[in-house]
Amino acid sequence: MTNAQPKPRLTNAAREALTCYLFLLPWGIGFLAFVIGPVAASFVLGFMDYEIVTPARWVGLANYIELFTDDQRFGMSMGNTLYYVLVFVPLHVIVATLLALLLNQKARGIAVYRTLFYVPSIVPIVAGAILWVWILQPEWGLINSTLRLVKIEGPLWLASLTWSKPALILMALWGSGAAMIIVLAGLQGVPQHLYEAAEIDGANRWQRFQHVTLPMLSPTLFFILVLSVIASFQVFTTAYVMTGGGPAESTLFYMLYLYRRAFVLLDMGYAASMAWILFVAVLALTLVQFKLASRWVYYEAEQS
Amino acid sequence: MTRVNSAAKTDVQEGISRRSLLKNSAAVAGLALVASACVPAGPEAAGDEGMAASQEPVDIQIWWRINPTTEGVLQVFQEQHPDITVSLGDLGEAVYGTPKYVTAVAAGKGPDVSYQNRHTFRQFASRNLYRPIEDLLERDNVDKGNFMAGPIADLTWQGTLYGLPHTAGTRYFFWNRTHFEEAGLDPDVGPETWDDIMEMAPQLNKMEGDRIVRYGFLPHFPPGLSDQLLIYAMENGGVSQSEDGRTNLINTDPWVEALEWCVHMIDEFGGGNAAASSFMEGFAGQPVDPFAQGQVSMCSYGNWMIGRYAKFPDLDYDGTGLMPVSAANEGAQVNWSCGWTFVIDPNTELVEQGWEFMKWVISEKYVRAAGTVGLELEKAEWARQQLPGEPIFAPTPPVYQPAMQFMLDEYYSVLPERQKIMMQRYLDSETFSVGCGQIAGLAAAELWIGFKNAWESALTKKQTPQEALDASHADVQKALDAAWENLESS
Repeated sequence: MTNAQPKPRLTNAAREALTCYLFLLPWGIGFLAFVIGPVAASFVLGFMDYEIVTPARWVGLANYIELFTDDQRFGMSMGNTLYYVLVFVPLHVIVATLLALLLNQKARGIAVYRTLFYVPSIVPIVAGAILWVWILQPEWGLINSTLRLVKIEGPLWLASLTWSKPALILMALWGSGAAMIIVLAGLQGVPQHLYEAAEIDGANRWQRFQHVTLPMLSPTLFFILVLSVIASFQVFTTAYVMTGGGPAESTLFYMLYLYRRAFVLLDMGYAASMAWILFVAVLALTLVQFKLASRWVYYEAEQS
Repeated sequence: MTRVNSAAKTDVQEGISRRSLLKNSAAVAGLALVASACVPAGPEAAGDEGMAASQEPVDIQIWWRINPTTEGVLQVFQEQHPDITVSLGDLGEAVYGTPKYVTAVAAGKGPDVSYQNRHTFRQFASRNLYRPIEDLLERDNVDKGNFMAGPIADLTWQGTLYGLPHTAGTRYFFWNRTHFEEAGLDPDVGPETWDDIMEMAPQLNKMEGDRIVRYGFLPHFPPGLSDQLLIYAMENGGVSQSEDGRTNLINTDPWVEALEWCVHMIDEFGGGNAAASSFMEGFAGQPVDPFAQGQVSMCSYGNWMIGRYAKFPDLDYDGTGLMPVSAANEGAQVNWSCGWTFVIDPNTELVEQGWEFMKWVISEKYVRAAGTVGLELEKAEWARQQLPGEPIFAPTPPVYQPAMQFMLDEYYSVLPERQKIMMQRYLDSETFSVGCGQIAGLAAAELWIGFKNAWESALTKKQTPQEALDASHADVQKALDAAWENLESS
């Protein structure tokens, strides 16, 4: 008989780690099943002719070849999307920043103003889109009625080849409140002593903004820029609800075309290949943004 | 000194924290969003699961429209069939394609029975999205000859019937009698040809300065439909595809001329596309259309508006199921018919219960149930809107002839004279209408998109009618070739 205690099979650290992994497991299973699984499946489907209701057939690179050589809508929808990205993203960052600067003042009732500007971003996107269909209505919509008061005949907006995309961009800018809040948080994180030092050095208001606010805000703006670019490439709901891609496909954005191929024309393999092209394009663009970030994004800690 | 160090340390920590937060969040959120691009976006897929267990009563899932009428008639069905309960789900978008149903069936989670439009029926029947019902018809002695011929043809693919037609509707040409009288036109005689329309439209236009405030005629009516081009092409003798269904013909002369005529009508008598589109956009999404409001004098719409126009006591209108035709097609009886159908999921095990419902929903029993529920709803609506006179209830005409006869006896015989005439003309037009299922063929989804694109491209002057139709033709033909190739290889 011995008094020696049996050695525990697991150390405390190992037990703790095991517990941690057990808690993580449900999320991990969900992530594998509902994110990694479909992503991997879509990659394989991109090389197949798959009409959802009939068995998939291996076609190699045929989908990709057709996209680049025999599909005018691929280029057109990508062109529409690039227009949206190039116009919306800079405007989005500028509007969010200007709003944040405006709402960073110490004014009476500022919290109410902040709430008012933030509210549109929590309106469900379909509800917002339907609201904007009415606002943009050419005959008696809010915008054209207002323009008429100053003797300006507004455009057809959603029914116009020229104005349909700007109309959707205008609507999207209405929801800049979420980005505005992030910029506002960034602004409030800028140390006050930097402004004081700049003021002592004789910097005027613009110089303080240019040499203190902007550099200190640059990580925040970079964050918004990255997210906006990615989200803009995936613009879908507003066009689906407000224009259906029209008129004459002037708002047929890439994701809307992808949806049409997948769920209207039942060309799921082709749609999957489109999704991967978008993935690669957006990933490349995001990496470029990270690469270029060192030229204009200022991280205080790195400088320290 | 300590305080300074501490503050500096805090500053650094804050800097690191902010940097980490922003940089890492940007990276992680960015990658997650980018990755999500790999999964095709789409509306919510299949609805609730819930194939009923095989116990009494058996619950079947039906995707239809969720509204007081369907809920009311299903209540009656369940009372008459105590062994069956129904879970009602909404079908979602279903006129120019039916993504919710398709994805659900592909996943093996489709409803036992579903409502389907005939715009894309043959395309989906050819891909086995519906259960063939010939065996059930034969077993229960349901005679196809008792249905209207057009809808049955729409639902037949390679000699096999895939669904039971529930309703049918044709195009209808309406005109406002009051406007006709004001313009010195005979209110009893509508236009019979395109030339008549061109002569009448400017007389019916009402101007305020340079602005048209009442349109005599606008081809793109009602706002939002994608198939206007089809009826104008048919009025000009156009057909959408060759008899064997392999060659698309929408860029042939009758189609091009029809689109040119529509563009001409808008440019010449509608104040141009900008003004006309602006006017029509004003009615998009509204429960009433500009004809009902007396702002358009003539329009091509559907027979289903007969009951709705009855709610406008000031609207004195007439109409016909004989569409005005081009000079080249003069004398021809032209119309097209479409409508709704019930189908059985090819994977369901509850075929018997689903079939029982389908037989009921086409029968006189359904007509009585729908009539009872519908009449009560109309009475309530009449009271809500404080409309004058007795409620006018014009039920949706069925396709099954015994049910139609019952409806004529029970409901139409008591309709006011105007609606009674309209219904009779509608029934006449069904006899010569071409079904939309036959028009559309195996690349139906692409065809409806092609119509919309050609229409918008020509009206906005992005392309000439010929160019616009050539482009749509190329798309549809490509899809048609692929559909036949897939069909033959499988």
